[in-house]
Amino acid sequence: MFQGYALFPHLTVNDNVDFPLRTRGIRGADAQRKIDAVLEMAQLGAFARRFPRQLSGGQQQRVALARALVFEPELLLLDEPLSALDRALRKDFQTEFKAIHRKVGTTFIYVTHDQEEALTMSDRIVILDRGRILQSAPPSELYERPATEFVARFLGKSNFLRGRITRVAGEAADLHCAALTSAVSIGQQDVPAIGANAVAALRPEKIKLHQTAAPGGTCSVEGQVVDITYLGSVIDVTLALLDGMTLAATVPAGSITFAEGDTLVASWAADAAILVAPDAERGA
Amino acid sequence: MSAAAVAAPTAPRGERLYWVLLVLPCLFLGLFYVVPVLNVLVMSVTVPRVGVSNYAELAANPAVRRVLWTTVRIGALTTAITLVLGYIVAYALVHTSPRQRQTLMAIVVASFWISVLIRAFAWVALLQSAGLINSALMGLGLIDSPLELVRNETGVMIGMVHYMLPYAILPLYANMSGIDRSLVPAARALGATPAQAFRWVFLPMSLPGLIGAGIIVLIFSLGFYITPAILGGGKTIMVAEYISVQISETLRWGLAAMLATALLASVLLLIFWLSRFMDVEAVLRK
Repeated sequence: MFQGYALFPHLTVNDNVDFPLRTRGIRGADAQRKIDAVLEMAQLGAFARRFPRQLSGGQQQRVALARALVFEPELLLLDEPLSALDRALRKDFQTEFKAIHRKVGTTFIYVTHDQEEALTMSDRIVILDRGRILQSAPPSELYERPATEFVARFLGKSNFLRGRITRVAGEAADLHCAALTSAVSIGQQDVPAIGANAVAALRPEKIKLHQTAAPGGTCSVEGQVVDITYLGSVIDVTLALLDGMTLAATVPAGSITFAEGDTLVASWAADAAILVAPDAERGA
Repeated sequence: MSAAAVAAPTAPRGERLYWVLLVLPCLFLGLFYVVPVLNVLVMSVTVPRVGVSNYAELAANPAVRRVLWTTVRIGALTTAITLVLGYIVAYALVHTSPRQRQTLMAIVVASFWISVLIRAFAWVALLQSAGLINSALMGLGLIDSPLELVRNETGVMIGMVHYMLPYAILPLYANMSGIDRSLVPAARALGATPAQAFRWVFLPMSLPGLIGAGIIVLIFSLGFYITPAILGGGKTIMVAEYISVQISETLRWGLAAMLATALLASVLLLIFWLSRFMDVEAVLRK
């Protein structure tokens, strides 16, 4: 399927969908039955006699999808099929694509730059950077346990703690940065040597904020609020730590009251931060 | 009473200027084009005497019928050959690199600059028995006696196709460059062979261009005068040459006027008939 729909302007919707059947020598009643079924599924039954220019963008999109599905391919490559649509229409289509996907059971390879689209639509996401596969996993695993710094940064937001390993114990390790020491889970990385440099990813929503240094322990740090972004259900907070590092936290709105300039304590669970492979060549 | 009050609102100043500018060319056309055409029309039913006797010759006079048949045959064949060759060139123009397109386009347009008279004589020189083509073929031992390439229909058609090619290529090119470049790859991705993609997608989409070019070439071909006169060598006579002979040699002005009127009428009928299938104006505008 193409980014521009590439429908044949001189053919009706029916004949556009018929095209892949015609190239395969499928004709007559057999072909018409398949066309009717796929048009019905794409909710285009009423438009079969129309020409593409008489349809809206969304309808043209559905014709393109119907045309790609009618010959029951084993695999369907969708190259940013929704990039030409506005946001609201894109949402509708994501739902519709998922419904159609469930119905036909064909494998869809869906190329997108929209990370949200990737998370909501996929059973498995493959992240590519400059032609190399960085990680291939179901969406939740990709988000919770990113393998590399690039993946963690690409999908959602992330804090990166850079420091030295000071202790290793089974699946866990301690990472010492300038301002803090955090327990980290080793995740998919090789067990690091003590004293080795390492990077850990920490999702902002895993951080809890407190007025006072109550919990203590290794996974906590004091910082000054430098920026507050109110997003309705949640608040994005940026904390400046003592060593000049910043930490982004996302907390539920109303859970804690504070103002810019306040000093707060941030804490997170021992397995919240996870080691990731640093983008070594990227810095060069 | 009140109807007079709502009569034509005065046109804005600028629009009036356009009308004034239009009057001059209209006057010129009326005086030097419409009046003579009407004159010919009148002449065809008045000379040598009032009546339709001239038109009766269309059916009765075997010489006239032969000339008309030759004209239609050569016109149709020329159009067909020109369209096929022009289609190939236009296709190449659309699909080649921009650099090569410039060169190709220059070659196509260059033939506009050479007078039709010079081109006709050049073809005579090339095609005659002792000409370049025949002596080359005989030199290579491919033929024993020279081919009759000129002073017959073959010669006329070679000359006419050569003259008409740019008139076919340019509208075809305009039409083809308007075809979405992703459609043929899309057809291929949906399983079509290259031949199927061309036949089911590219060809039908270039049909308007093909018809437009066909109309232009056919209309021009029917009225060709110099090329058939020179390359036909007096043996292959098309209607324009025949009319000229009637006027300047046999002095049968009525017959000539009738043939001119018939030619004009048939071209108009052709356009009218085609306009029932398609937007002729849009095609010719390209």
